[in-house]
Amino acid sequence: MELIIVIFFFALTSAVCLRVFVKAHEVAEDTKGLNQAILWAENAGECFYEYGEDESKIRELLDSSFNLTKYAYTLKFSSDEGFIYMDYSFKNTATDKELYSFTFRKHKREVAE
Amino acid sequence: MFKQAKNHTVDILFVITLFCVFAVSVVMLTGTGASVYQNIVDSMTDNYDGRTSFSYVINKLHQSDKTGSVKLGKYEGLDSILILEEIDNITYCTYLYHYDGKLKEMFTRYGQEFDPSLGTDILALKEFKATEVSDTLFRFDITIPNSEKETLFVHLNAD
Repeated sequence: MELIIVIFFFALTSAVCLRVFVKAHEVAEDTKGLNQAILWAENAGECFYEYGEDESKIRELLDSSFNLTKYAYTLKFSSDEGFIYMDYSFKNTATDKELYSFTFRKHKREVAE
Repeated sequence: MFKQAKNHTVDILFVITLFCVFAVSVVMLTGTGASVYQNIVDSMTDNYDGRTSFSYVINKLHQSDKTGSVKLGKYEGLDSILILEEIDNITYCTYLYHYDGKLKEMFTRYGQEFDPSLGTDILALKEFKATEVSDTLFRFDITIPNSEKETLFVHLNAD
């Protein structure tokens, strides 16, 4: 009976430890992805503030330098009377999980200048 | 009597086998844990090095966002960022360049020759390439040791 309890306890602690390790690995991977997401958000933002409404130039520049295989980004452009907007979204392609999103906004008068 | 002795041997063998299984499992678990921890530490170091070098370059350029104060050039055949500033009518220059596997910084009088090895070490870098996309947009390709190449764009408001 004592041995059964010992085996059960050992199996339980091993399972918990393994789960902790797996979770730690997942968190580390997510952190890595989030870092990339923020770096490319900054890049997208810098290009957006440079080219404004010129969507094709922004896409061309970012697409030509994006070298990550595990991740992908999407850009959506829209505008209203006063502002133009760029919705940035960064995903892990393997899990299709969105890691980060941000909406950049620029005043149209600023763009025209 | 004989039967009792046999049972006793099996019991001992079982306990010893169980102990061996436990010992092997503990060693494997510790090994896995150490490996996961090592990976996390490596990943954190890479993230830190990357973020620090990118932030450093971005902030250096943004703090000097004045007309004509940021230029890209070659120094000793190496890609360099030149940040010009005028103090008491004398032009000084901060060079940010890649030399001997490190990102270095040197503040000196503009046009004056200097020994690139004397610059202040900022971070260890494998590759640093600077390109002018337009007058106000710069592209930097930075490779940190043990990491892949990263691209950085910096937009300046002043021409």
